[in-house]
Amino acid sequence: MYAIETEGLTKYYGKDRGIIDLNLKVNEGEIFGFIGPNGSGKTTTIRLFLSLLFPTSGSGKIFNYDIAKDGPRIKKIVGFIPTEVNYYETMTVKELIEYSARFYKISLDHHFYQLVDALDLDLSRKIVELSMGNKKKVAVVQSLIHKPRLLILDEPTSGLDPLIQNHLFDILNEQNEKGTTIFFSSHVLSDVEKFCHRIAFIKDGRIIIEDDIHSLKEKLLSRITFRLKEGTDETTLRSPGVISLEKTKDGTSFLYQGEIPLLLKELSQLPIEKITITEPDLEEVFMHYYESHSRREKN
Amino acid sequence: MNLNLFLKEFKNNLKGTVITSLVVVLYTAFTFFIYASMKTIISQATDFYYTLPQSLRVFMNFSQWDKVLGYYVTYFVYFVPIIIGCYSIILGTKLLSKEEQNKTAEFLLSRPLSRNQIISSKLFTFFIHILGINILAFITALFGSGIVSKWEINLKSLIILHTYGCLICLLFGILGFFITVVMKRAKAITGIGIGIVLGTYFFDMMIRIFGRVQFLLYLSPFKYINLKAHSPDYGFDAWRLIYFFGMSCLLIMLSYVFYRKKDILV
Repeated sequence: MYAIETEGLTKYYGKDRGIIDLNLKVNEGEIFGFIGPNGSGKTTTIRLFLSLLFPTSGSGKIFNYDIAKDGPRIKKIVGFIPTEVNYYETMTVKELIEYSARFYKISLDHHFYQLVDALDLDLSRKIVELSMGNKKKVAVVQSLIHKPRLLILDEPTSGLDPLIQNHLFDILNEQNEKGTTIFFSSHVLSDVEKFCHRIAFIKDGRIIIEDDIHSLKEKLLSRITFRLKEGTDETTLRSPGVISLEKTKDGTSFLYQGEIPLLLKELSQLPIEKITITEPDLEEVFMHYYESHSRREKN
Repeated sequence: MNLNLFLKEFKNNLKGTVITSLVVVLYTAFTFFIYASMKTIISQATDFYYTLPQSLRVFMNFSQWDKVLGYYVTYFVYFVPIIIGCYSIILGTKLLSKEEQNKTAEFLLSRPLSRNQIISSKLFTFFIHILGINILAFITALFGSGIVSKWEINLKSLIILHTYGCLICLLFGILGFFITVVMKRAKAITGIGIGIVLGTYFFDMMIRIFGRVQFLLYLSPFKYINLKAHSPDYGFDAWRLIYFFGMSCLLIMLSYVFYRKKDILV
């Protein structure tokens, strides 16, 4: 059984595109990154999972419950942190969390107070008085009080300072170790890179790649930077896997997709003074796929 | 229904209900105070009444003023169907639209609640508040008319009159609730709500005054309140009750149907 499974999930707002033909499979117990630029369809996907929206076509299941029919059952086992936290402003933090807890028919136990301590949350303050970061902390606590099987996070780090971000990642890792599946939507690639097991890139409402984060980085691309000896004329590379070649202050830099020995054979013909081969960061991988997908669409 | 949601909604809307109740109680008390002070001159003013234009006579309904119930009916329409009706439609539109406007709908809808439970809890809150104000209005009218007439009151007529008032208030609120359900992006429609109540009232009055196109009266809910409380055979008419209950049930049922599949765009 998958934690999340969608088949051809599509949502249109009238004529406007939300998401198109989304096919996702998130395994139970994994941390799944969902990356895309603003307006790509991340929040629409999450709102479909939570039955705030209903699909135009296709289907989706969360722990085998249909997202269009079994909303209350799904929400009993799902915790959610929204991008923008909007809670009842006249309530205090404690009142809000107690209000939320009563929907799950639970009382606030030591697990709750541990979370409050870890996030340094003041329970007596009114929601209206809280900063964006503190509201996010409230969102984190209320999403975890009922010990969900699946956590859906929509840009969870926005508004949080780096220290609290680290606390949040510690809490999330701890939850994941206890078996909670995490669906992590973000456009901050570094967060996804250090935290997630698998990722999917979404662009213009469509998934453009879905893979294991390590294999995605390993099998696909390398960043090559080299500097030629002084007085050497500029050269061009003929290897077919060379992508995004550019001149930088450190020399010539490009992404390479293919077998490294073949490239080295070509490079050995050049008077190279210095060469480095590194793993690209996720942003480069994302941009590569993003651009090549755009090119394919244009053609 | 969900008790947790009901209690929160009940508490959140209590202030508006208390203020409206105070307005209704004070207005009713004031109405009876005026009657008590001018009771002696009413009989002398009858001749003057018949010199007034027909339209004004329709408006004032002065011919019934020799009895406290007849007098009360004239003013009843201003504070029960209109004041409470306006509050009712505002409350009806606010219950769902406020969640969407303040974007707390995302919080509420990500709790383990069905859409039906949300509708039921909100509607139950609405019924309790509007019934509460109407009961208070009835009690004030009962004591007001009792004191002024030395308890020579027609209790049955007063109960029937207030029941009609309560039904029209509930209908206005349910209409407001339904409007926010079918709106793509629910927003506070306070102005439109008050416009519906006052608009249908003046529409009803205009047709009565000018006496033309009487069949159009059936479009106004005010047509279905029986205000002839002084009449000996005053009672509940089946066709009026069918209208109020039928319309209310239909709008409630449609609210459930539409909200069940509504996209919440926050």
